[in-house]
Amino acid sequence: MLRALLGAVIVWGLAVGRLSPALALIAAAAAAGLLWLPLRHGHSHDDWTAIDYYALQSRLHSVPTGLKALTALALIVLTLAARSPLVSLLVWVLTAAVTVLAGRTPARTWARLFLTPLTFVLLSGLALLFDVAAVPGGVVSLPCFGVYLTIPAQAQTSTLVILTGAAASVSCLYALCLSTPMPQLIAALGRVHVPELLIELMYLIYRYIFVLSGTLSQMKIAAAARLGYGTFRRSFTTTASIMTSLLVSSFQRASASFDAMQSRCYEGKLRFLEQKSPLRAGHLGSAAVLVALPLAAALLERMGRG
Amino acid sequence: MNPPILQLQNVSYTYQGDTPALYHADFSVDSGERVALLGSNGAGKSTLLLLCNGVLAPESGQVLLNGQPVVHKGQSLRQLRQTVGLVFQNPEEQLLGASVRSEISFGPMNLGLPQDRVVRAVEDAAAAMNVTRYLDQPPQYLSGGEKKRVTIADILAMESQVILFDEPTASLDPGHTDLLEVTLAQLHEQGLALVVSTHDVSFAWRWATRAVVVTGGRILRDGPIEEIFSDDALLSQAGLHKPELFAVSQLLFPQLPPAQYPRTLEDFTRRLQP
Repeated sequence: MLRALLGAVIVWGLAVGRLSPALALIAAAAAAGLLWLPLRHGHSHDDWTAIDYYALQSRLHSVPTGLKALTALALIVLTLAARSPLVSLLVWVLTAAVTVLAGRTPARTWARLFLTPLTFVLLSGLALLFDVAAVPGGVVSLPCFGVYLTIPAQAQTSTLVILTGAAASVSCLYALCLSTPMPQLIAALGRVHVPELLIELMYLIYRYIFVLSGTLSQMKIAAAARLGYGTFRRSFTTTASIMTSLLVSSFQRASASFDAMQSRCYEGKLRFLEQKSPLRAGHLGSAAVLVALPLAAALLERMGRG
Repeated sequence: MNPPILQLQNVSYTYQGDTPALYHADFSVDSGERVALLGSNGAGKSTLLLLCNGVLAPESGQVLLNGQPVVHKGQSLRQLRQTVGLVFQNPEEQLLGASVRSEISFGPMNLGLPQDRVVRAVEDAAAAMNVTRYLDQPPQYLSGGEKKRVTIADILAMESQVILFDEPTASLDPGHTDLLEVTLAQLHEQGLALVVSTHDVSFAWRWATRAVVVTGGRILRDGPIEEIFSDDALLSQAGLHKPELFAVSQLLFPQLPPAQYPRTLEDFTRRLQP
């Protein structure tokens, strides 16, 4: 709801003065409708493990992590360097297509995941687009408590560049993390010599976050079964005592897990076998095309301008 | 005669600021043995297993590996932990790796085996426990029974000679318990020594040849399982029940020596048929 409203304001702000007033309104309404749509379809079974789950299911999870990470990085750098809405749009479409068509992540899941960061992008768009001035100016001036909310023409251009760039970058990152299970990502970070302590912490956090959330959900169910959430007041005390016992059980669990690690000859260093996926020519070629297309678009645009 | 693989001599252990969890325990395991460790909750079964594997160091007494006293550090301790593997009761406590492959590799990697041997050990252990198709999955998406199999593969990959199981059937449904029994039979055929702590006396009677009864931190009795289930005073002292099949057999086949009592229902019905 908020997101749809924000989207409409931003799109109208970007279009006003460039398109006819009627067209600007139609564009704003279309944006609101688009942002409203995926929300109305099942946002019910969304949970925080969705990314982890779909990364495992992805058809692209056997593509070497290094290649995927480099491609995503190259596309982000390209997007930010080109400062062109057209290039951003192309990157956005390409990475979304790779995720949904090649990786087989369900389109609706992708849309739902994409909308979360989009809200923040749109919020910052609001700040970029509008200016407060003592006198009317720019394409639009709205009187407001004795001052004017204005949209300078120059702000329209820069906002468009920044918003499309941010959306494209988010899409690049999603292409990476919806096709790469966390363990592979951590292993890749280890290969580029991120400090060992951080890598070990990441492995442990990744593993135990699921254990912790499992315990939490069991406790919540047990509390609900005893009417722990009966009233608003009751819910507060229940939540407090669940958090306390979660802390206590974390300590117990940690000591038991440490015993289990020691029993398998743990001597202060976490060592795991890593699965390396072979680099295939097809993967390399697809990655090259993925980077070459927006690069060519950026160069052509620059030549056309210059 | 060769000394037993693992031997505990007069071992005691006290958890910090608590009453002793184990007093003067004498216990040994040799290759190919099937030992049931019986006792109620808090009897000291888990403490005994942790001492056998070297997670806990004995307060007094000593642990011998192939007749050699274990020094609780360095190579000697590593040797003990490799030779005597321990499968924990709760898989969530044992599972550590972000994927099943890295999970199973943890032990062999810690032993410092070369890469290709680790790869082989992981693949063999996964195949033996039938978890090969989960190798690239994180453990959180496995079912309880699958997690248990992964924790057993963890130990198999370390090529232990003795495997200790702490209450393996506690979190398993009957189907997975059957599967576990099949697994235990396979491991026995490979010549491994197996020690299983359990409350499930029927399972113990089906599977074990020797039983050790622990209660209140003391080893009450160690002997052939049929002798233990024949001793009513001992069972009531340890808070254990007699397996139903065993009790019925005592009534129906008083002429048979207890060692020949049927151990499974199939065996029992066959015996009843003329």
